Amino acid sequence: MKDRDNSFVRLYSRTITSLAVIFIMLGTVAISPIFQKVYAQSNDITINGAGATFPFPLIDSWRNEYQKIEPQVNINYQSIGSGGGIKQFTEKTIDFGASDAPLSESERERAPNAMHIPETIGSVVVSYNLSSVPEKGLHLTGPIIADIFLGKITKWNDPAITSLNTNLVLPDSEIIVTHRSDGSGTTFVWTDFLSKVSPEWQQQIGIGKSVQWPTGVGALGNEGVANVIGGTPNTIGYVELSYAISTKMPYAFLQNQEGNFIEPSFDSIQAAITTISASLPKGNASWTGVSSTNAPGKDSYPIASFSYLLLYKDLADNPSMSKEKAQELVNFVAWAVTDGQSYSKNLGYVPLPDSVVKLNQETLQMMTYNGLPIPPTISNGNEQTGSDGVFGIIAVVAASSVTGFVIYRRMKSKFHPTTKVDYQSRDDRKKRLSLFFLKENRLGDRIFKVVAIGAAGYTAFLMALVAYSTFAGSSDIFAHEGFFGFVFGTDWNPVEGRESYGALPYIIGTLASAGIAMAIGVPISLGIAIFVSEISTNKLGASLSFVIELLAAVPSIIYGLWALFVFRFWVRDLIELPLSNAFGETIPLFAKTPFGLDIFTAGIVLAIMIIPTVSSISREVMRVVPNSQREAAYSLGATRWEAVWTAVFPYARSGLLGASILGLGRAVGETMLVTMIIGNATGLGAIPTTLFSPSQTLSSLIANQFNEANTELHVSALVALGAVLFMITIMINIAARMVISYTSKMKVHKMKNNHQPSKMGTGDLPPTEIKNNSDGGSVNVIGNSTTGWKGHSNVQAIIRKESSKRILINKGVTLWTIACVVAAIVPLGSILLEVGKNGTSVISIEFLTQTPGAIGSRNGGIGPAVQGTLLVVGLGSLIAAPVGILAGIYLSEFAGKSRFADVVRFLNDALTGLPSIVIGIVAFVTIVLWIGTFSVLAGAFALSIIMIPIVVRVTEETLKIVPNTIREAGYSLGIPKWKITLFVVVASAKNGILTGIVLGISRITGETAPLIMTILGTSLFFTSLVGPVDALPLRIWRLASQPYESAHDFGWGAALILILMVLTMNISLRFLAQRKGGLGAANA
Amino acid sequence: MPSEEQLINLPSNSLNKGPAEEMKRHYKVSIKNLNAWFGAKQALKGINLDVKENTCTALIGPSGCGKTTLIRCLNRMHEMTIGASATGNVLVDDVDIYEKKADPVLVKRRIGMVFQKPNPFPTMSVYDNVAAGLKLNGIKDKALIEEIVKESLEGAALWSEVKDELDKPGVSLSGGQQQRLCIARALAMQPEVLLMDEPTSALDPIATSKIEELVHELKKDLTIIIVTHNMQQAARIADYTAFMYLGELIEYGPTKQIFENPEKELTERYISGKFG
Ligand SMILES: Nc1ncnc2c1ncn2[C@@H]1O[C@H](COP(=O)(O)OP(=O)(O)O)[C@@H](O)[C@H]1O
Ligand SMILES: [Mg+2]
Repeated sequence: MKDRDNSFVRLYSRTITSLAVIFIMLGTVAISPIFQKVYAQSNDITINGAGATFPFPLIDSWRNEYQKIEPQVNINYQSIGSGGGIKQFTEKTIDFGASDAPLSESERERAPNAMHIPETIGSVVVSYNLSSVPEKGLHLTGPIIADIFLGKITKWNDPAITSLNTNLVLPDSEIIVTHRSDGSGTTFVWTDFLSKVSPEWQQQIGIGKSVQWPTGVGALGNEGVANVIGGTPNTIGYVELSYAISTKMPYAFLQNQEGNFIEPSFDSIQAAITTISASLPKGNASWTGVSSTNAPGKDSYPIASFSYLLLYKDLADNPSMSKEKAQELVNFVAWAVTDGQSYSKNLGYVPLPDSVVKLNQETLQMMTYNGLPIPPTISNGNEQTGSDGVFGIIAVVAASSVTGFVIYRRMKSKFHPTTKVDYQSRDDRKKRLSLFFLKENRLGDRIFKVVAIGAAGYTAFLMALVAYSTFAGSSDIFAHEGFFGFVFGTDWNPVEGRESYGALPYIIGTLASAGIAMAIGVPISLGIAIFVSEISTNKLGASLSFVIELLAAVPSIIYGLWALFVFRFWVRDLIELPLSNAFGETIPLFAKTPFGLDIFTAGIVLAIMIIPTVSSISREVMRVVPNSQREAAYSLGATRWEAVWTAVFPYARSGLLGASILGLGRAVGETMLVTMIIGNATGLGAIPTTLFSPSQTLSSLIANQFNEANTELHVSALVALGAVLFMITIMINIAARMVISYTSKMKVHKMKNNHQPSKMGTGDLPPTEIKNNSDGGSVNVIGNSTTGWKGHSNVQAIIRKESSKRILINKGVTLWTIACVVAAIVPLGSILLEVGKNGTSVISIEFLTQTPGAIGSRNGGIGPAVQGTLLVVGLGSLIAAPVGILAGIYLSEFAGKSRFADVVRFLNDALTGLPSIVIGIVAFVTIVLWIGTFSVLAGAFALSIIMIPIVVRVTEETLKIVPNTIREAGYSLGIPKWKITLFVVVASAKNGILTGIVLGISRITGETAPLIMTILGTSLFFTSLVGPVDALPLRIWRLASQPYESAHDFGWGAALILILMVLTMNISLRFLAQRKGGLGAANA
Repeated sequence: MPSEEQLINLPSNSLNKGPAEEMKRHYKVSIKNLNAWFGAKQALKGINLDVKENTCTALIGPSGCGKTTLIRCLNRMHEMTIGASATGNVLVDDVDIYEKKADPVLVKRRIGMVFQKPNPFPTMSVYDNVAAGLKLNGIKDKALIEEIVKESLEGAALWSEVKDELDKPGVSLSGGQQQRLCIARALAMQPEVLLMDEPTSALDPIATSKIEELVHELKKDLTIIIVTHNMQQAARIADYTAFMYLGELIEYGPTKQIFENPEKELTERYISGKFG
């Protein structure tokens, strides 16, 4: 016999090894020298800043230019919004903040001794889409604009407008108003202006980064507003000047205080600023109330404002700030407000007038470090320690080599040298064995059980942590509005001093959009499942299901971009307009002029997003239905459809229900995608009155406003939306449990009847199978039951019907399933086409491995994002995979009917429906605030919370399919349970578990929202485990919101890379699954 | 109170036993007043049964009468089903496996079991299936394992058929071969008693007769208790036969007697196929 002593251990260690190799590869790739390039040298100083989106292009080009002057100083500025900038500045997680609005009094209290340094000037312009006025130059006044945005002037040919524009022909059409849905400095400046020119606005609405809009469609970011204006005739909206300039949007001339109509330009804006600069406060004083809108002067454009850098007067207030870094920071700011100004005009920014530059220089002279002044120095001898970077690299190298070594030892220890002893006689052997078998080792079982319980406990703890943080964070608003007041309130007014919050419209919006998604997505998914599992069971079916599963690999942010740029126009032109033209007058559901940004579009896109998940699980459930069921129906002469209806469906019912509920969970919790296309109405306006109304969901409102929320009550209200969502998912889960336990109780009942002793022969079930089936406690995604065939009488009833009609129905159903497949494939094709078309041109080695070049240029790449994604996802799955698998093992193998297990299952299920943004918030308040900076660790922690329930669920379900006889075979050999579990049961279910892991990794690879709050993003390579990193979804999002063509192309390129990464993972998994038979082979 | 050593006990014809002890040992397995439950439902009612060494005993009876439950009580497998319990004593070599200190895991190492449907470990090769019990119980001596694997496959009359494909997955064998593989897997543990629960019910006639021949061979070395549905089979292979009905042991005796001259009318009616 040849040596095969290790063939058995090999099976297992091979899996471990390949996983380990993957992770080690991730680790090494992530820190490999190509990535390090010029930038992340260990003695570099990195200055992290974050805040307003508006100055991002300018600050980013400062990063690039300053690097040329001071190569060892890295500036990393991330646009997370002014509110986010202020929040992070207050929490001291960053070195400087940036905001479009000065600190309010309450913000100043929380960040004492903050200095304001105006670093550039912004301006807001009014843009429009009028076929009769394709160019700039429409004349408008402040009061007219206010009336339009108040919903008082509704027609373009309103006399108030036409009288100012006698030379233009204005259409007799409704004005479609669009505004920013996300909290933003731009909105702050805009509402500041409207409040100055319209007392009514001032009274009703007020000033704020988010306000309660009386009318209009909300769009995400300047990009979103521009997209709405560009794509929808007769729209009006507001965007930043630099954005309008670089995207060549038409803009209006506005009347200033002295009655002149002024074109927004560098000169007219600088003129406005100059008129007020004499009255500006000192840098260390309060800037609350400083406003430069509606400035006097005959040449002043009326909507101009500063954007500010925020620094602590004593830089040592931030504990992570070294003296060297403080000095470099001051030097950089000094450069930015002087020499740096020369880069403004090219990018569409207005340079600071001399008076303001001077003011800033005085401010910088006041800066101190531990009380000692640190004025800007021209040149400087840098001797930084830079231990951060070295530490990071050493840590990662050490971690991966320790892992490698441990695994090596593990494998090595299996290769025991043979002690060659001759056991000639059989009795000798027997004796040796029996002596050996005396040794019982219960310790292994105990340890394993404790570890498994520990893992399950950890998942339960995480879920409880999320629940607790969410509810604790909501206590303020519940105290303020009352719980029911909040849940049933309809007002949403975040303007300081007028605050009032109610969640009802968003609860309705969430349920309505998810309802539409289910109504469309579930039938299509079932059709697909029927097609691939019942009709086309050959190669075609297999490849189709593969292609459809690819849809699951598309990150939701890419769905969002695709929906915003492509799909919403299809929906508008092909479905909504025909419907509203035909039935708009008669059926109220279709009233309202549609433009593709509404609850209906959101529902459809959500449906497309859930189809892959629901259809693949349904397919698996239907495949498990034994063929004997179908054959029984066919033998009675049933058509294919009748066989499905009478034999397959009843059998698979609880599994199909489980699949739908998983889909519902995703639809309810989806964030970014919905935010981009639902129209983002607030207040009463968010309650959809027709299918084509803009609306808002709980999670989209959180995404829109969280970063800019600047009062504690506002933050608390947003967190409370998360709590409401949590309750909704829990209610859905409870309902699902009730339905499923009801159906499976009926099953158990039936089975008991089948198992009468009087029935001889095949009714003789092995005892343990019953145990598996009576487990009604969990949402049984994969219906692994053995009911008797129930379709009997149904079929007989059906086949008595006329046969030509039956055949017709059968044909019809077949056609319908084909239609479903097409309906799923077309979006996939379109997405891939769009991403491929726009993305391929930018892809190169440089693109993959370099840091971003100058803003607006096509230099550099997205190296840090690629590296960061590998790091964060790798680390996240390194936490989630073992914990999830162990917890799944516990639930399936050890828990039995324990309460604790039910609690774990329940929390797990509830969590899968929670929007990831809420998980991001939890990771922020725990890890980020605890460490004090954004970090890989925080991102990995957040992602692991998202991935764990998926792995737990899939592991448990797969292990449950492993037949009990296999376990019993192991027990009957006297093998300790933990070894049976690992080497027999888990080994059999390996493919299923691997699928779960890949599913989980695909899911977290595309997550955006939680990363914004945990890793921040950076344009630099990784240097430290406790500093910001970048990630692809984050980068895509940021690139897409820049006004440059090149940035958009980079965004598509990054999307392509992201999809390719996830696809590669999916495909290699399938390859693996096909090569190694595992359980599938056992059943075959 | 028996020591652990006694519990494990050494191979049957063992070494250091006094004459007095030798005298007591009439039976290899001795079942005393065994009751078993599934939850509140009683599946076995006061079973008493003694099995001699190196014999084959068949359990027959209608479906649901408790045959499976009974043999699952003999290696303490029964209690692993959730909600199941048992009382009474089962003496193996005069040591009670239901004794408080008895370890149910160790008990299973001495008493092999073959199941109704062949259940080789799906991820393992033929070789590993047989070696699994040894390896997973911590035996690392390669030479020893190889010896035992070969011997067990020979013992299960499978060696000649699979000796060139030991690396093939166990599940790729035919049904009959799989069942013999499972027997080999049990034999590798050098059991003293082999429990078989309708081992041929899923097999074709040729595979069935192979297993029946095997039982003949095996009982030279061990004590076999086999559940069967097939009365001819019982008549062919068993030295003793026990007839069960509704959880009770109705009649027990030499096979010939049970089949030709049963004492109880119920037995007679069952044997002659009048019910069941
Ligand atoms: N897991 C179980 N749970 C509840 N009752 C069971 C279970 N397994 C068997 N039974 C019941 O115990 C009795 C004996 O079953 P079993 O030993 O399998 O019978 P046999 O093997 O003789 O057909 C039957 O009435 C059966 O319904
Ligand atoms: Mg049985």
